[in-house]
Amino acid sequence: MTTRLVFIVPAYNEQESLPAVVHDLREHYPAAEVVVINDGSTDGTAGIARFLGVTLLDLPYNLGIGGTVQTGLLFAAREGHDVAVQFDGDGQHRADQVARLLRELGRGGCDAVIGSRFLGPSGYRAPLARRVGIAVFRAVNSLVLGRTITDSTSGFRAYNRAAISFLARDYPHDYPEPESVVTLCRHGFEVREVAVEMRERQGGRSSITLWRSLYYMCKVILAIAVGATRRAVGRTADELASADRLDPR
Amino acid sequence: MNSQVQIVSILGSALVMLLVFHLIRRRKLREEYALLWFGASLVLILVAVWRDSLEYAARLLGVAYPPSVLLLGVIAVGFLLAMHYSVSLSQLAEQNQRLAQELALLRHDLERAGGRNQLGANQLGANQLGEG
Repeated sequence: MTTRLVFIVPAYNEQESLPAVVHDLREHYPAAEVVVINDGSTDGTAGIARFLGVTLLDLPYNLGIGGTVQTGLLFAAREGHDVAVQFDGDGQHRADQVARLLRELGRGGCDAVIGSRFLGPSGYRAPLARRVGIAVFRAVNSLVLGRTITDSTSGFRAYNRAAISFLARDYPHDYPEPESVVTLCRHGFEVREVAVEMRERQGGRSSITLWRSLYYMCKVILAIAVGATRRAVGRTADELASADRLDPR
Repeated sequence: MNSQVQIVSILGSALVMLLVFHLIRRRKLREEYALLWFGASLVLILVAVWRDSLEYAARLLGVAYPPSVLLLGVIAVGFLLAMHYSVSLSQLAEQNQRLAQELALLRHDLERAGGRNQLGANQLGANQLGEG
């Protein structure tokens, strides 16, 4: 059985970087479906996606990264894709690193694999605001989950079917990466990390400034803390049924 | 003096009730909110007509200055309402997001179906050409 692979590419005003991202993915994974979710961009992102011939999900207005990625996950769940890889439209993620995620997912026993910049000697240095945020999330995560996730803000991830159908229903809002790790773990999904290399940001600025990151940090910590008090719900029968984890052999 | 206050507050409450009635007739207010505002204006009328009720409530709660009970009540109701609106807003935002997502997925389905129809139409045209 061949694995049906889908790339979920959230894009907000990424007309400059999108062609290179799509070419990069096609070069490495010609058989995979590339889904670009246009989050109400004000530039030519949608037109470029159409021109490139990728699957375009065109949101009528800006939903923020959480709602955008979830749209892709909804699509993957309905189309019955086996593996979804979340891959940023800004050129930060590298298609040649996807194999590391897929290899780990293919080894079985896990539902989600996060590409971490901090495992292994990549020498990546994030901006100060982000580093502070990452350190705090790391602490909060290890408090809540009892384990360390080194790069819970990473948006470079691979999900199997069970995780896709779960997240399509329940995905956090504006700064979803750290919270979704907690949600997944608390619902009994196995989340792993592998070391990946990423590019330095090509153009544009990170959406995360110091004040906003403070605000988001409070918000995410609240969300995680509240999430921790929720009753951990087991998987639905449907998810258990589709949890046939990938077998490389 | 006292009756003046009573008349003003009864008139005010009656006006609120009229406004609510009017809004429901024009379908601008859903019934569940209408009931709430009707209830609120009824309570105001009750307090205006039966002035001792305030003092009675103040004694019951151990409040020295009866009018502050009225203020307390108003603030509590306002607070609860604001909370209720926050909840409604969150729910609406959630539903709104899901609608936008469904819309994007439907747009895609439509484009895909449209492309297929066009393909079909072209094939049909080619067949007709071949036959002619």
